[in-house]
Amino acid sequence: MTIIIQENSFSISKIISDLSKKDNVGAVVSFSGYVREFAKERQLKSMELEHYPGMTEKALAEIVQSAKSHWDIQEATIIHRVGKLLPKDIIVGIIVSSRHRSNAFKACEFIIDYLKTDAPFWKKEISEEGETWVAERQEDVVKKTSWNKLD
Amino acid sequence: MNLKLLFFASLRERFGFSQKEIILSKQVGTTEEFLLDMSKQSGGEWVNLFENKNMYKLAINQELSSWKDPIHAGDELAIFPPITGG
Repeated sequence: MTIIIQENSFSISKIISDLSKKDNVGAVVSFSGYVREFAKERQLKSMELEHYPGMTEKALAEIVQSAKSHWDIQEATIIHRVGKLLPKDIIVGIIVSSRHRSNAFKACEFIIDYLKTDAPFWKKEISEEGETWVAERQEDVVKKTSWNKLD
Repeated sequence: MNLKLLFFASLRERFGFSQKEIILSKQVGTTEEFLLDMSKQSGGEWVNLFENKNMYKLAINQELSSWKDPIHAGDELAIFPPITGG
C-alpha cells in the first residue's frame, strides 16, 4: 500500500507502469480526478485543497485495508494533491493491481467512493466572482452508502 | 479539562485559527456538551456552531465521530464541514 499526499503534480502513467511490472499482475485499474474549468457555470481561476495531516493518511490506509478485506488485490496506490491547483490539473490518482480485472475494478471504485466522504480533504474554488468552499454532494454519500451491503 | 481543538476549511476561516489548546473549567462528557459549554462561555461563532452542529463533522483523535461520542481530557478534537476531496 502506498499513500502519498503532496503539492506537486504526478504522472499516473508512471505509477501504472511501475505496478504492472510487479510479480504476477494481470490487471491494473486506475482512477484519476481533475480540476474542471467550470464550477456551477463560473469559470474557475484556481482551486485550493486543504487536508488534515495525520488523519488523512490514517483514513486512506483504513479504506485500502477495507478494500483488501473484500477483494483479492495486490497493490494499491493513492496519491492526492493539496495546495493550489489550476483548471485541468490532476487532483487524485488511485491505482490498483490484481491477478484478475474484476477485483481491481471493484476495489478502485470502492476506494474513490470512500475517499470522497471519509478522507479529510476540502476544496475551495476561486473564480472572478469570489471564493467558495465546495459543498458536499449527496450523490457521493449515496454512492458510499451503496457499498454497505458488502458487510 | 484540556483539549486540542482543530478547525478546518470554512470553520478555520470563521474562527480565525486552525489549532488551539482549550482549557475548560469543568469536565464535559461529550463533544455536544463541549460545544454547549463553549457557546455559553464565549458566545459569538460558538453559538452559531452549536446551533448548526448537524451541518458539520468531527473527528476525535483522528477518527470520524459523532456529537454524542465521549470526549476525554487530552483528546484531539477536530471540527470541519463535510469532506469534499477527490
